Amino acid sequence: MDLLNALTAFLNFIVVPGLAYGSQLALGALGITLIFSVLRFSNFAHGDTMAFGTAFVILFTWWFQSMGITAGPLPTALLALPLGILITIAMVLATDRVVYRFYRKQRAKPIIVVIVSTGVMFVMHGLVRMIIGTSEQNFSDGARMLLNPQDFRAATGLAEPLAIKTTQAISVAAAAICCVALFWFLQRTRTGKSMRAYADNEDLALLSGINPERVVTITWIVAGALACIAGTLYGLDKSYRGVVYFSLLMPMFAAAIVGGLGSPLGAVVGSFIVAFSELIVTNAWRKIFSYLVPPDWLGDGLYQALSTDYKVAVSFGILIIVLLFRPQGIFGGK
Amino acid sequence: MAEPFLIGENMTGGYGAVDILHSCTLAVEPGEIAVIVGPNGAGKSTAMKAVFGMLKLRQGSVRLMGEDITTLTPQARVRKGMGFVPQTHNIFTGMTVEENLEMGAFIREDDTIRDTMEQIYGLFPILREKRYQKAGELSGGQRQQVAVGRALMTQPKVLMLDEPTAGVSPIVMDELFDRIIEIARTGISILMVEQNARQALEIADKGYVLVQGTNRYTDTGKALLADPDVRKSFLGG
Repeated sequence: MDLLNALTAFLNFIVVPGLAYGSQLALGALGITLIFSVLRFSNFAHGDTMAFGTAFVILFTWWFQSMGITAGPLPTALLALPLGILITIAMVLATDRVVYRFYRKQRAKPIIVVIVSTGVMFVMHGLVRMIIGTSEQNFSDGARMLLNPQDFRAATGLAEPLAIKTTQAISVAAAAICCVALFWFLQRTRTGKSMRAYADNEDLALLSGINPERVVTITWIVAGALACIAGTLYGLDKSYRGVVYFSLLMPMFAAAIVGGLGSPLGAVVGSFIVAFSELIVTNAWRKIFSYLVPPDWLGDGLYQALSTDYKVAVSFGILIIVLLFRPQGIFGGK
Repeated sequence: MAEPFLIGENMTGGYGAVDILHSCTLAVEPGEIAVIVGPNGAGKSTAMKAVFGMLKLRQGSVRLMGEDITTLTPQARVRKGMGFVPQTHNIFTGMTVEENLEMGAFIREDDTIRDTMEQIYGLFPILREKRYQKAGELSGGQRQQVAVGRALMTQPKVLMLDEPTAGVSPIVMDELFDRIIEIARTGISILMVEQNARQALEIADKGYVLVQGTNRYTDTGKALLADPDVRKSFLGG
């Protein structure tokens, strides 16, 4: 029995990556849930919007790097992020003007707009391919580790290392800041409240003099900014490949639905549920168990429920369970 | 007779090809309570929606203080000083009582919104008590108070109520009617549709009995209650 080493391994393989991954999902899922509650459709293009924004952040990062501008120990991408956010916002607003507004005027059924968003997804995906290509891009620089595993081992004398990457810490911090700012915006400001009112009861919001086009514009701005931040953090933490963002759609939607579509708090909680479930199911528990039980009890198995290749199946499973037993989600969305 | 404060005159129209209203006329003066009653399907709510611009009129006009507002959207009419409380879905269920009132005042830019809110809390004390509670968690009667309060936040000159007492208990209904009288005393015109015809006519300065989209009887509330024909046909004897 070696509880400390087991705990360290647990922190290292589950808690730290789970928090970082959950934070990245949360920023994406928040955008999905906002668009769902205000524009009343599931935006399948959200993953590729993230890829689009990140692609521009990468281009700006390279530009900054070529000019010798860096952020010291922090990734240069953080400096490029505001520019990327602006371009993402411009893109989603342009998409809304050109595509979604037409269907909004027609009062098209949500299912039609969902299909439309799938079309937008393909276009966005193609754009990203043309802009930055399909190959993997690594744009992370600055200090790699906030907590170096060797340092941790030297300091504690434990056999197990604990590593915290800078990008993981930044992900959690950025998500925390964005969530606080977003909740403050929605709960305290007049514009934020008008967004909630519009999501709550469209007709009554109209009677109260709330301008729907303005609410829609603000929603796209917020969702676009969040998408770009989420995509950049994910790309920094893992690495960037356009197609990966498409597969993030599944966990993000699972997160938004688990929490209750339309509930921002639910999207955040749901994201961490999905992130930790993925890690718990796909983690090889052998190492952690080896500290807890005598070695000869363990046998040869890896104690891994599912190969990491199948991690999307976890979100899918969660989604099915939630839709079967609590379709309104934890926080009672729509 | 002088031009009424608000009048929907000879209104003809419907939702589709078929007309529901046939030259129907409704009018109300400042501080007056006008009640629209009639059998199911008589077009009571439709007539009120027509006055508020939620229905396209083929004929007739709506005038507020002599100004023709027939072509204005409902939102524009709110800015002109008309408040409307729909029959259902008339509150923001996920928002607190106070936020509901704040949203009611969304179009106002002056800094006396707080005062209006205090007046509404004075009118409906229970709302002050529940100001931080979600409106969707309140009882039926309290929800109606929130709905009326929200509409009053724009400081309308005319308040239009579509069956404010639908689905509330008789005691709550009496209380709501008392509040509506109080609101009218402040000089606001009230135009409302009511299922509870007898009680509504008792507080009405003016009553409109609609049948199949046309005015059948128009008189003061008292006179309609005393009219044997109206009693026999619409008030159950």
